[in-house]
Amino acid sequence: MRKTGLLKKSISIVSVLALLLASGCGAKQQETQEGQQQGGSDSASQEENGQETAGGGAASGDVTIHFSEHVANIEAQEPHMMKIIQAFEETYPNIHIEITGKEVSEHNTQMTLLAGENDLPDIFWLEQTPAKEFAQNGYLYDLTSALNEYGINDSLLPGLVNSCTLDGKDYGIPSEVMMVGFFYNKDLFEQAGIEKAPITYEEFTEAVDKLKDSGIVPLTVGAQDNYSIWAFETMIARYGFFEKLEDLNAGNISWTNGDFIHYFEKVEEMRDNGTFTEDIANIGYFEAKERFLGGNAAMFNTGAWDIGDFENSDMAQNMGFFWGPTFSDSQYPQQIGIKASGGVYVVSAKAAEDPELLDAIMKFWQFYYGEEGTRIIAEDTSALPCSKYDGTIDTQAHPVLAAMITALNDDWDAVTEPFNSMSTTVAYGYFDATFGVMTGVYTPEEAAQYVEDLHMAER
Amino acid sequence: MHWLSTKRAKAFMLLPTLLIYSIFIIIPVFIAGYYSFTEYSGLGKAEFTGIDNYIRMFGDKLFRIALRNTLLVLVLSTAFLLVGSFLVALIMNADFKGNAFFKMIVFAPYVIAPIIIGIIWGYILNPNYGMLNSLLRSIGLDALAIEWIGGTKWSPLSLAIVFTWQMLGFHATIFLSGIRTISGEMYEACAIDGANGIQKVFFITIPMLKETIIINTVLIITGVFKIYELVYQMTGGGPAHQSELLTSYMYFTVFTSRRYGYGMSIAVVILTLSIIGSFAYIRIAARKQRRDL
Repeated sequence: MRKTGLLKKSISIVSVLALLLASGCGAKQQETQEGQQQGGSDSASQEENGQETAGGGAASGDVTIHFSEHVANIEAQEPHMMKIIQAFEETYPNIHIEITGKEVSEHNTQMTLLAGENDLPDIFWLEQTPAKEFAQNGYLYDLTSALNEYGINDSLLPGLVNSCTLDGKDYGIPSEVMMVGFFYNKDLFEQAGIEKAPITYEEFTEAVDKLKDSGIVPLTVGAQDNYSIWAFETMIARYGFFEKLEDLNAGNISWTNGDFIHYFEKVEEMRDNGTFTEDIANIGYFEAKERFLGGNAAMFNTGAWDIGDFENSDMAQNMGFFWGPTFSDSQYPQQIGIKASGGVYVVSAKAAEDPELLDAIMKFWQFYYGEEGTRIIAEDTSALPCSKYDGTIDTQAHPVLAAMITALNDDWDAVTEPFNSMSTTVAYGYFDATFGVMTGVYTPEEAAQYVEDLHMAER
Repeated sequence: MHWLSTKRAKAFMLLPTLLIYSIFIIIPVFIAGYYSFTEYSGLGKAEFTGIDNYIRMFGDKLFRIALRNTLLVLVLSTAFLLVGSFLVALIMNADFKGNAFFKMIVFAPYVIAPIIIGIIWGYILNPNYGMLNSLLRSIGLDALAIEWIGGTKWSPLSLAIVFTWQMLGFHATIFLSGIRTISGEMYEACAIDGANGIQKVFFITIPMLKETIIINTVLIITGVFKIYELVYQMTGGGPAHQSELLTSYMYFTVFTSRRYGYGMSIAVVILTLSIIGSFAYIRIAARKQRRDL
């Protein structure tokens, strides 16, 4: 029996998500939105009975869509995808989806190799920068008109429309709401005498000191997966990453500029202060997550994709979220958080040559981003949907999701992930540099120079 | 059946093998060679840049670290494996109860997938909660409980130890087959002359195994230049690429950093070093053998 004092709160997702994402990442991804949203609403209604052909051509026989995902264990890591596929196949018995998954770096490697062999799967996941490279080289289908024709643009949250554009054309559909920051264990914070989540760097340092004094590992990070520093991307954004980006690419500013050095110095200070797991170099992202969920560390930097895992853990009710420390020695906006589109789903150009297959693919995306798919994502699997949803979320049953929605709705400005604004080479160079400082391999200056050398070679 | 011995027939019969070998080995080597002179991300058209990638390699600190680590692993593994596998082969050649079981135990790591070996040894060598350091600390040898993996110093040694453990049975088996070809009469004659066991090893067994030693050495050299999974699983190349070997660094450069052209130039260097190392050793050994004769 539930306590009568605890009212079951519900949050309407449609208003909050749409509002915030519209004001956030939409600003950086606006180019062709207006033109593409015209005339897309009629096909959305066609989906209602589930059997109509939204795009025109009727399916004559069985069609199989080959789908490659970026997680090794789809059922565990992306349960919504399996449920949506199941529901979709029930609605469209003639369309079958064969989904396979690999860990993200393996997946990326495989897609590059398959592109070379012109044997890409029909639909697959890509990070935004490689997706643009794939599109530039003709491997991807231009989704611009199909997204309108099948009403997908109308379903998406406004800020997530045009998530991956090249020369004004859409090549990707958002796979997730990218929200990253620090999750923390409220019990351990309380145990250390920390009353609220830190906001400034000074508060963060104070919290770390208190945690250490209480014998608690402050922050678990796994350097063996060098991409797992999402919350630190927000930090470099607070040192003016986006403001400097154009000049960085043009070579007018170097990575060794004072602001970026300050960023690396803060990472160094965190290391010297004992913020990170002692054996940071010997664990990866998954081990780090296990430690956090096992109550062996107070904080963990990750994103919205982990909501499901967190909700299923014993500490779901005691988990909080904050965007990461702000810095008083930076002149750039500090109240910012990464609230944008993450990786994207793309359609191979080869698959699009077959009208029947293309129709089946677009029907699947229509279903995925439509009412039923979104309901499954939001209600059944506790993930943040990329499309509008008019239902309600039981915040008692889904406390982590509720915390994320609250953060998504706060007044901090939305920015995109810096990773998506750099070439893969420079992005991974930046990851390596940050981990290099975290593990004591690089000084701040060496780290900045390392990224600068990679960037310079590209200019 | 005379027609089978003609050159044309031999060439014809070799053709399928040659074709497959060319498609999967020779041609890719030339393709890699070509891409090593280009700037290429793996997608689209490659841009010819001459020897820029090779010049860049000299200034690449991480490449130098990977090269240094590879040479360290090569020297250590050669020493550990040649001595270790020879001694194990001598034991395998001895007549004792449980010999078959011993052979099985020694050979077992060779048939385990390297990625599994990496996982197992990753747990054993973990400096914080690994079995090895726990054992060393429990017997008071705290000074030896070092950062076997994850640091900037000891990873090459750890990789050499694990590679030795993995390959010991394989190289011992090659030594064993060599030992079995040595005539028993030579040992008998030596015994009549009053030689003891150690003298037999040094004056008969080792000199008679020169060819086998060459084979094993060449296999170790080429084997070290192929180590990838152990690095991937045990250290991830980290911290910050400090424990990369050439192959793992090449993989990172090509597939993670997406510098396909530069990665291919590293691959060409790996191939060249492997060939030079092997041929140099064979030539030196052959010259010494001729002098001895």
